[in-house]
This record gives sequence, C-alpha cells and structure tokens, in this order.
Amino acid sequence: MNGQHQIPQDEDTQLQVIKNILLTGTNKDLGEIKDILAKKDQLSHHIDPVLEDKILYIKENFDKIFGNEVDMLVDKRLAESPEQLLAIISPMLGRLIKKYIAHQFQMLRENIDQNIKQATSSQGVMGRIKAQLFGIKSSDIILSNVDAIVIKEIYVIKRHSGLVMGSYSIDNTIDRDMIGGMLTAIKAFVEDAITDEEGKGEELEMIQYGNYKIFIQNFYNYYIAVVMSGTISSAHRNDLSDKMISFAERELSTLSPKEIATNDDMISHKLKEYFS
Amino acid sequence: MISKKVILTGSFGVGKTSLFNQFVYSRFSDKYLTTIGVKVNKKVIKVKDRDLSILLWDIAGEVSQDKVPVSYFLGASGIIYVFDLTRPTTHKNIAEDIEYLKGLLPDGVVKIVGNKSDLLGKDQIEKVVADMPLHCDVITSAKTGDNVEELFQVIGSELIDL
Repeated sequence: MNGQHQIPQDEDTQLQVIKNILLTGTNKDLGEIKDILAKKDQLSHHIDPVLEDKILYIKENFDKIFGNEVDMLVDKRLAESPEQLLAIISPMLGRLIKKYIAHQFQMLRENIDQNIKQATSSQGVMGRIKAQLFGIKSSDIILSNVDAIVIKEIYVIKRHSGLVMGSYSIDNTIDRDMIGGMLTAIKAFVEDAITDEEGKGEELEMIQYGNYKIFIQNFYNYYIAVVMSGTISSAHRNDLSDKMISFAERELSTLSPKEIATNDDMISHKLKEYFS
Repeated sequence: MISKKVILTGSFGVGKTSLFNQFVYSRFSDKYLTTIGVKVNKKVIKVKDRDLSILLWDIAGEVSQDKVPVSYFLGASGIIYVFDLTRPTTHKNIAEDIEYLKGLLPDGVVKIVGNKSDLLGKDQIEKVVADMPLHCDVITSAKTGDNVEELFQVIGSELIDL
C-alpha cells in the first residue's frame, strides 16, 4: 500500500480534492477578477469604454429606442394633469399677449397722434363743430378713424322660421341658410331664456364677438341682421338702424309676405345696392 | 329653391341628434351627448324632381312638449316627433304632445317616428306600435340608417307642395 495516494474516506474531503484538481487555473482567474472588482480604478478602466459606446448609441438612437415610451408617458401625464401643461404654457402665452397688447397700444398711440394733428387743421376744426352740432363724442370720431367700419354681411331673415329671404356678403364663405337658422335659434334661445315678467317682449338687438358685431333690427314678419367689423360708435349704430328701417320701408313694405318669401334675388340685389 | 323649417322633437335620449347626424352627415356615434338648446343644419333633397332645402332644427329633448320654448316651433312647416321603441316612457305622453304641437302649428306636417329598430325584433316592434294610441308613420334606426332617408322623403313630398 506504500507509495500510493491515500484516498480520503470522507465524502466532503473527496469532493474538495476533485475541486482543487479541476479549478486550479480558474481559481487564479477568479482571484484576478475579484481584485479588479474590488479596485474601482481598475473596474472603471475596463467598463468605461463599453458604457461610453452604449451611451453614445442610445443618444444617437434615443427616438428609435424610447420614442414610444416617452410619447406614452407624456400623453399619460397630460391626460392625468392638463393643469400641468397649462402651468407650463401660460407664462409663454402671457408674454405673447403682453407683447401683442403693447404693439397694439403703440399703433393706437400713433393713430391718435395723427388724428390730433388733423384735429388742429381746418378740416379737424370743422369736424369738431360737426361733432358738437350732432352730439357725437370726439373719442368716437377719433376711434372710428382708427378702426374703419366694414359691413361684412347683411341678411333679411324670416322671423320665426329663420329662412333667409335675401342676403348680401362681401365674401361668400359660410352657408347663408345655416347662418339664418342658427342666428334665429340663438335669438329665440336668448329671448326665451333670459327674461322675466318685466322683460317679456324684449328682443335681441346685438351680438358681439371679438372685433365683430351683429346688429339686428326686428320687424313684424322678419328681421335684418348686419354683420360689421371695426369701431362702431353710438352715432354709427343709430345711422345703421335708420338705414335698416328706411330699407325695410322703401324696399320691403310694399311686398306681400309671399312676395318677400319668393323674391330672394331681388331682395339680395337691393341689399347690395343699398348697403355696399 | 324651396326651403322649409323642420323640427326634430321628442323625449330625451330617443335618438333625435343621431337621426339628424345620420340624415345630414350619414354618420352614427354610440356616444350619448345631450343637446343643449337647439342645433340647426340643412340638407337639400330631391323630391318630385325638385330641390327642397330642409332646415332641420334638432331640439333638446323634454319629457313633455310644453316644456320646449314655443319660439323653436314657430315658423316650422314640419315636425318629426321621435320616440324610442325600447322605452315606453318616451311615448307615454304622445297623444297629448301631438295635440299640443298641432295646436301650435295647425298647418304643419307631423310625422311620428319610432327609432332604435335595430334593438328589437320584428314581432316586438309590431307589438309596441300596435299598443300605441296613435299611428306610427315611420320606423327607423339612426344606427344602421334604416328608413332615415325614406323618412325625409316622406315628409319632403308633403312639404314641397305646401
């Protein structure tokens, strides 16, 4: 038995011996790796180039890799909290509006300066005398010169049905039947909804939105609606009202309700002649 | 071209706006959005070889018609009274409602329409219609578009000669 390896009898010891034989080289490598991992500088030296390449790749292909996820996240955030979006864009909008108002004020100031210069001229003095005689405010005259009045559209509309009996428009953009119908519906809604015992019989006479105004002159079977833009003074409003009444007297009062309903072309032509 | 104002009225949720959208735009949506006030649109149809412009007023639904502002009905040549075939409460007051509407518009053409036919079988529809106190003129489905065009042809052919 001498000269031969003694085989340990214990099972654990036998396994350890096999491990030592098989992992002699590997243990050495593992030791080196452990050293590298333990020393930050060495680890960094090995990993940094790989990470840098990966970061560069992600930077260049971010949209492709994460685009969908980012979009979904943004959509989700916005859906959950629209206020957040408002909070972000409001200051920007505020600045834009402030800038726009400043610009408009500048323009207004320049126009008023010009008007004051004109006011001191002989023509201006005549205008002021006219204003005094007819009771028109100087501010109305100055403002009306700054922002000229334009009649955009005129409609003669059947009172209850909203059917258009005649119309004139400087640009035929919207379906006139739709305007007649919707205007009548709005009128009916307002007159019905906003009223009390004292206000019974009151009628809608004006709608304003932005720089536009719709003046309504009510008659028994129909009403005339004039869409205008610009600065409209109370004097202009009165003039327009007189003009609408005189149009109705001259051109429509002689026609029977049936003639009014069936003479669309004639009424439209008269409107153009009268108001353009 | 001849133009006529036509009112779509009836209880809430019966499908007036769906009929309106199906007729004007040929579209249907399952979403229920209640109408506030009134919505107006128009469509030109060919009736007896003539063009007829129908100005259609889609009125917010009310349980009974005397709750609707009278001004909406005035000047209308035709009235389409819509009820839901699946909800008896929507035609419970039909006799009183029609009498009221005929009082407001003695010369108006009135059509009674049972809508949502796609939700019932033929026998069920026949039973609902037979149990009603008034004759139902047209059975429609705003969802499938069934009889919608026909409804406006029927009312249009009576309106064009008024």
